[in-house]
Amino acid sequence: MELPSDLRYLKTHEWARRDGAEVTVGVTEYAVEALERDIVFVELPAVHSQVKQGEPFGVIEAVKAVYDLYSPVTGRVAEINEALANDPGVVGRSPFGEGWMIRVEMVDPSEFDQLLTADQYRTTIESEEAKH
Amino acid sequence: MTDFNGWLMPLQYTSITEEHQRVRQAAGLFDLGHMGRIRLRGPDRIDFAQRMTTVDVAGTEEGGVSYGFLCNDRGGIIDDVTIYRAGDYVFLVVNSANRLKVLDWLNSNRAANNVEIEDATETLGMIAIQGPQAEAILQKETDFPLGSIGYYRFGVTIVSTTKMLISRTGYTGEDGFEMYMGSLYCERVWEALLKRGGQHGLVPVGLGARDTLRLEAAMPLYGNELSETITPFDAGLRKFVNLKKPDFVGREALIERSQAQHEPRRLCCLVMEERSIPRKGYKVFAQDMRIGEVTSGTFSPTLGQGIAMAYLDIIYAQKGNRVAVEIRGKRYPARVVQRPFYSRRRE
Repeated sequence: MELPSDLRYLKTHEWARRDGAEVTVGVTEYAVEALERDIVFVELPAVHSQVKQGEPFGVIEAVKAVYDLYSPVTGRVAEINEALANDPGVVGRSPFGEGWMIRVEMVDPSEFDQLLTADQYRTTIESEEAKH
Repeated sequence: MTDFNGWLMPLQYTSITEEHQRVRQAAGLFDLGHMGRIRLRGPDRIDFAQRMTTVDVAGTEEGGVSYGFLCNDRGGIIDDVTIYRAGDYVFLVVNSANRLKVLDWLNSNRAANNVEIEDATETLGMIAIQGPQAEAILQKETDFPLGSIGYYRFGVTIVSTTKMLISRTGYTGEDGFEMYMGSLYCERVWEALLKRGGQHGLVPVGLGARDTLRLEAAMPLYGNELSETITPFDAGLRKFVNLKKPDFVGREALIERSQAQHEPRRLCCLVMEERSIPRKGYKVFAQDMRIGEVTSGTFSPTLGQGIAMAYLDIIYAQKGNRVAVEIRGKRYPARVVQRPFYSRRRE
């Protein structure tokens, strides 16, 4: 599976892309595969609300289950992807592109460097698969 | 694959939403091996079935299928079942989770009846084909005129070179058939139907879509809408209880219940007004007062909205009434609608 190397990752399957002081957040293709492309709803925070590294900022719902989304950084939500309200399926079709979820203004840029690299994230997926 | 009461069953083959839509638009094939299949034989089989169920089995013609209940003496539902009146046996199809409970219940209530209770679950398999193309596909696999099998009737004939019992019944709200055959032949029938039906859009369908399909058709699920503390009247299923037939287990309690002035609550169908998904256990409110709880909920692929069934306090159970469902601490608006959520177009 392709994992863009310019992104950073959480072991809970969120990705983060840094653009200056802002970080764009989404979920990885691995997360979406597990939901079998039955994504029916994505709940996002309001613009200007605060998010914290490692804490839930929203929810993604598949037909059968609901999953928390975890923020990779602490800061203020600068923008949310409004397209997901009418077409949550775009997360399944383009998880690293048009399926982005929120943009956060970081309070502490060093938090970004603490995140997993593509290789480290790949290792966590592989060890998760090995368990099954 | 998921463990379902000891059976390894697929939740989905591709996508729950895609499989669901395929059944509504073309046809889907379901492996229902996990369901319980019980045969009653012997001279007293009709009397026994008459005594243990809410259905008038004695008044049913051979070749007829009925939906009804096994109730306890308080009128509570032990299981919802389909009952087939065949020549020298009565065939019961019961929920997978309740199979052992039902067998125990039947055995301990046998009394003086000369009846043999056979658990045929392992020797018989069950496959369903459901959807507007179901009959067309199946007809290519048999010489038997399927059009002669009416709704809730069955025949015994050869399909895909296999002898089987086939009924026009189902759990999806679409036209279709349920088929029972020797379990050794299931795989061959499955493969033959998929091969034949592929060009008509037939796909295999898992338990995930089975649930979203039945919920759109407002069909109850034991463990959600039905339980031993719920009577068929609570669930709005009065018409599947025959109070005119002679004594059966639960009759007295059900008569009392049917004469009650006020039902305390009613099973309702709810549609979410905004994009939000209700789920089992979520609380329902009206004007800040808790009025009920969701028993089943999902996102309806056909309606494009969240839908749910819920038991609501009777005052709030009127069609058109606005209520709110609490989802993760926030309340979302919903509307009580007439059941079912979806009805197929009938020619």
